[in-house]
Amino acid sequence: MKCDEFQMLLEAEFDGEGTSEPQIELNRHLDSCADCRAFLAQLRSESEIYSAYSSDVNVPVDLWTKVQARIEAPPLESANRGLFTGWLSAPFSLPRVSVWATAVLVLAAIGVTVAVMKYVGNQSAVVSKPEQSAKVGQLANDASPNPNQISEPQKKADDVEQAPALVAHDKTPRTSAPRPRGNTPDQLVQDAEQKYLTAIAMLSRTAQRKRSQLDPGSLARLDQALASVDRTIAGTRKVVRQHPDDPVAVQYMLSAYSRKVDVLREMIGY
Amino acid sequence: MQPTDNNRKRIQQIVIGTLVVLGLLLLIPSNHALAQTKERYYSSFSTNVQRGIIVGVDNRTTGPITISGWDRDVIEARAVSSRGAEIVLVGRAETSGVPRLFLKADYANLEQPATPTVPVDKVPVSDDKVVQIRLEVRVPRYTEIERIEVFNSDVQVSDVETSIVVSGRSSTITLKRVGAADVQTRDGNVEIEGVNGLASVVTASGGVRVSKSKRLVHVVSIIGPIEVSCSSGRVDVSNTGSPITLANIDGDVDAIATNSNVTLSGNLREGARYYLKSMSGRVEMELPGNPRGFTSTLSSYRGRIENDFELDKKITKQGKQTIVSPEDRRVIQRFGNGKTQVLLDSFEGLVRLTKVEEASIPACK
Repeated sequence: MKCDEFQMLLEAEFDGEGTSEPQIELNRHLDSCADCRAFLAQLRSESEIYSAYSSDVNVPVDLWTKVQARIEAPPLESANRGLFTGWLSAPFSLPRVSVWATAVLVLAAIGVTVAVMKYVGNQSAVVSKPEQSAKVGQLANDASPNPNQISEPQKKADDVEQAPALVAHDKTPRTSAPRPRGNTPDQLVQDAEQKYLTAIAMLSRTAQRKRSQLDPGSLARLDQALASVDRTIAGTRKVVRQHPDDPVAVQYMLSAYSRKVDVLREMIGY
Repeated sequence: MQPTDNNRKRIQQIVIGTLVVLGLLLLIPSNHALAQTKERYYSSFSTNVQRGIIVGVDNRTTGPITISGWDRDVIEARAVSSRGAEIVLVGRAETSGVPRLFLKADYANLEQPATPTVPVDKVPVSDDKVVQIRLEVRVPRYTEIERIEVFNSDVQVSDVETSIVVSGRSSTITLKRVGAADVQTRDGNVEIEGVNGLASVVTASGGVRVSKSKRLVHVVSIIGPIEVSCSSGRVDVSNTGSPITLANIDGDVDAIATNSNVTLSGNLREGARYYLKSMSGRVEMELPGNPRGFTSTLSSYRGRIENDFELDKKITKQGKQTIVSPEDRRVIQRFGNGKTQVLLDSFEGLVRLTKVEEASIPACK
């Protein structure tokens, strides 16, 4: 058996398409071919990356408890939003200040401004001294670390904290009406993403083999198109991570994945 | 110039700005006090209006809001609950010469029958549940309705010529015979019928049904099923996890799903483009037996392709032409004049072009 044939069968096996080739035949080739063993290792590694993809966010154990508590919280309908909403709410909620009260407010504002001016004047005098200015600058730098220098574990911890924060913003009461399916939109989107990634991995392998058949110009254009789609995927994915329930953001992200599948299919001629 | 002088100059600017803002604060409330009123009406409210009026509606409770248009220059509002008549809170304002009316359902003070319009502090409860009020509003058809924002209140608007914008969470939104519709919900269902202009719906998990639309229908959903029927305009829909079902669409179609099925049935409009696509779901088109003519591209990378219209793959005849890709993963066919474009694509699902009896396709009434 030639390596090309073997590797195609191996890919089919990984893509769940099955193979009619006897297993013993495949094992025999694998034993005798170092290149194919390396290829198999690479396939396994890719597969692990994609299967681990959806678990890159650690969901806190008590997340569902918090969500449940929110669902069971008493309704917060418009009673809590004041008497009016929209265009009428702003003018109605404005303070109705009499002329005298406004005059007092004006005087108070002037007084505060004068006090601030004096304070700033004193500060300016202090800052204008060069040695002290340098010290102030140094202290300021010491006190505020560069946000780009946040350690990796800290960044991850921040990411994990985002999940409950998004839920906490949602103070809306929910009806007991069941969703059309058991999955939440977020889970569905992750499943969809996973499917696209699997398809992309599968097509990429086939496309890799076809690269040698393409002229350099076509190849460059395709690589450029793929790079552009990858940028779009990265950008839209970031937005979906921030707003997982936003259908429009999800649509943009999945369209970008779909586009990549299309480009790869074009590349391999299907 | 010294840094101190710069700071002083900036402070002077702040002082002037502060004085201007405070001066405006002095003026604005008195103007609004003249232009705005708010009153509480027991049971119902009625007023004559003219073209150009803008109306806002709200409900203190999660009870429904119903707005219907009529041929009178009168706005009527009624608030009722299981307790009987309730309060219609009415706000009036005028900005830049445009009259505005705001209507909101509120509780009547039934503990003081002589003065039911006095606001209640305590929310009435019946059978351990908060009493819900229904707000019913009749408006002239030309009335502009402010964006309706609700959480759980169901909203129904009908027979209004203007655009209706609704934002709801779990609310069921029903819009019939309105000028245009723009709806957003989280998990509330949406039904739109007979809209004259754009019909746009964005929902995370609510079901969407649009029918008899004359212009563009645009629906985005994650998990809510989408049904569009009898539309004479373009249809642009996408879904992640629930089916897309289209019937009798006269305009161009772009229907894209990820994990779910896409189905279209009905006659095709000559020259239109029908693009149905799914990542892992089934993509199916059901056509009457004798279509005028179309060019179809059926493709499935890992799924089956079935085609009732397929006669011969390799022979080219007059009026029928079939091109088959080497792996049979893409089939391109032409029937008749081939003017209508049909593109059905699934990455790993079944793709089927089915011939059905005309009678089996639901008619548009």
